[in-house]
Amino acid sequence: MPKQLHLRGYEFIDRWRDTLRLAARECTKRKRVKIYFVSFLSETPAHVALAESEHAIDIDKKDDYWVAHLSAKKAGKTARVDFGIFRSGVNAWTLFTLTESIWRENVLLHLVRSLSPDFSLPYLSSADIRQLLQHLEEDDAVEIVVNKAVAYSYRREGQISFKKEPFQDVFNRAEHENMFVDKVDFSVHGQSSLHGFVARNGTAKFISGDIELFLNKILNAVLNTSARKHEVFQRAARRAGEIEVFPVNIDFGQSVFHGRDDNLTFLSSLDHMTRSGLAVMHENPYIHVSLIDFFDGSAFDIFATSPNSVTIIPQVDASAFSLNRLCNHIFENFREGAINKPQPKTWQLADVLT
Amino acid sequence: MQDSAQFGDCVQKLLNDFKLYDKAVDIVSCWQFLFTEVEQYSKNVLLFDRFPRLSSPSTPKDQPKTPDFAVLLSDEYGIVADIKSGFPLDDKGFLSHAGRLLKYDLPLSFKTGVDSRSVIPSDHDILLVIPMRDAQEIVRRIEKFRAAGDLRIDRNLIAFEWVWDSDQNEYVFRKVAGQTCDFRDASLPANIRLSSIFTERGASLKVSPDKIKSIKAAWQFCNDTPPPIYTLVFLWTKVFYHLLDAGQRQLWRRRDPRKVLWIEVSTERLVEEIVRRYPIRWGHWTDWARAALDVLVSAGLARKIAEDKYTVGYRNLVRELGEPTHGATGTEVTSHPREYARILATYICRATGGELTQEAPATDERSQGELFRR
Repeated sequence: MPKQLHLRGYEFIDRWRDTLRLAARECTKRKRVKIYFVSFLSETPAHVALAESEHAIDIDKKDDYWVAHLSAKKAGKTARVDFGIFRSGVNAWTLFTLTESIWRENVLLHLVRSLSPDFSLPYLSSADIRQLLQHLEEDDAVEIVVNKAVAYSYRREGQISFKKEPFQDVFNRAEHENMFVDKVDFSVHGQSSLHGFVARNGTAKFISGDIELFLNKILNAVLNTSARKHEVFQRAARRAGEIEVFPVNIDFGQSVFHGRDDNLTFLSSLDHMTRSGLAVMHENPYIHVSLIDFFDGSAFDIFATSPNSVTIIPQVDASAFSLNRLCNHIFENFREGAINKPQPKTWQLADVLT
Repeated sequence: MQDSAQFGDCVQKLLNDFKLYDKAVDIVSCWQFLFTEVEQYSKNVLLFDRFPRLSSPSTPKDQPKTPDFAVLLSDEYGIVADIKSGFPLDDKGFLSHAGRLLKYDLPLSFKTGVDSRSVIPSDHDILLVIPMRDAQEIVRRIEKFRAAGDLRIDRNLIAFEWVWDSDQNEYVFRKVAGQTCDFRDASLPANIRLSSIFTERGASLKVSPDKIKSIKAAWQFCNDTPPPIYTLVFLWTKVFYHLLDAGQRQLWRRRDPRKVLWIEVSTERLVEEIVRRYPIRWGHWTDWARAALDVLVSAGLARKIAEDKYTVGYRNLVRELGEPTHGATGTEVTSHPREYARILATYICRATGGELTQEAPATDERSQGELFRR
């Protein structure tokens, strides 16, 4: 059996949805074959950025999407990865390929990562993944069972795997154990059936079942969630030559800063962010740090001034990509939380005199 | 060989300077919050000037006065403020220190915030912000010297004490008891008269860090000359990267950003980049930038290639000094060897053999109280 069913020629047909329906039929026929999706946000059309990149890619135009052929090295030989590219949202793009090879999945993922910060992968929190499954269960009156899930303790020091459990139990247990859910392989039973996979980096797999359900309820939800966050992040950058700043809050939903030890734990987690540098302006009783992401020069002032949240203030030209990376780093290395934009507040004299 | 105690003292002194300045930034930010974010004031105050340079029509040839902040509350009334960390114990030193406030005891031209229009209010007072620990004694000595005619200030000098309230997690400011001076703010609407609030009512101003974080992140500095290490942290984390060319940036995306990339920069070009990105203290960055670059040279992180021209060896300095990594939990960590203020202080002190040559911050050797240091 070939490692990749070459979705090319007659199989990469005119429209991407029709192509995916065709691919879904292959998945039903062949047990180990799945459709792998990598979604990301980019202001430059993905096919343009890919064509202009240094990668060896040929791109052909179809009716409403593009088909790309990438040459990649594998064990000293050149192998070809064929994939589709379609626009999945306003500034959202999705690459897909039909494969049973993890290597091909990784090639696509690395391809997207190599174009950071122009391409920004979504980072879903455990709550985002839970909500996505919850909406699917509620809206479509189906039952969802987790076939396999992996959760990590903060900083990925510990790992637990779950098998064959209702999805709510998986998320409850991870939360109880202070862990974040990294990936979920799940099955949907009911009027429709689906076997799929979703990870916190926004990659997803259709394994079998109803492809429309997968596209509408899983892939769309991933894209909507990441687009919402991306918009908050994009609007948060301080503009050159202006004084106004636009803070972003991470609300942990509970009190997490109780004293110096918690402050040091938070600082230590920031310190582990790769390709970054940290200056501690203030350590205790409140935290103020200045962080630079050497990946693209984005700079942030980060404050922990209340027990249950941190505030990130992006500095001039800080990118949405970097803010996304920073938030996910905090989620995976300190604690997960909800990202929101603080509401403007009107202060009265009584607020500073009493 | 460098004495390790001397080296440790050197690093600690630079870090103390850094923290001292940061505390001053906090304090100015608290007052800025009151005058610009609290509705009753923000509706009335004409301008809170965080980086004032006030000229006096009485002494037009003199250098502009640079208090720590100035606020124009109306066309008739303004305040200039100085934050002092302490006063010398001996009378001569005390009088000399207090005498520095006399430069504000002249008619001063305040910015209005409307175009470049300035106004000389008919009255302005001088606000002195000092730590609570020594405030009472400082005020009594000021009163004594004024009564004796040794300290002549025509305008009112009002002393406020500040303290960090660790139970409430907030900065608290209140008028020091026992003063004869008060704000001459009768021209202001009754509800925002500082004399009513802080003298008659005896209220204190309480500002939590939560309220000042946006102000602090936006303005970064205060009007006092920062110790070079403070400026360097700002430059290293917020400015230098943007002087790299496209090819250099691309290189770091593919490779470890601990690889040195050389930035050739003049003081003028650096100042241009700072003010283009951060419009703070517009027009007066040259000295601060030059002082920071010179320290960078002495630390071995840059080379001076001509007058006011430098080559900076820019990179991520983390782990370059072989610092230990942090433990998994905060309880295992007692300091932050990998943070930039400490890393830069280490470079500076290693290169200078633990003997600092740059100017010390504005604290006097024999000061009344250690002030911000806690």
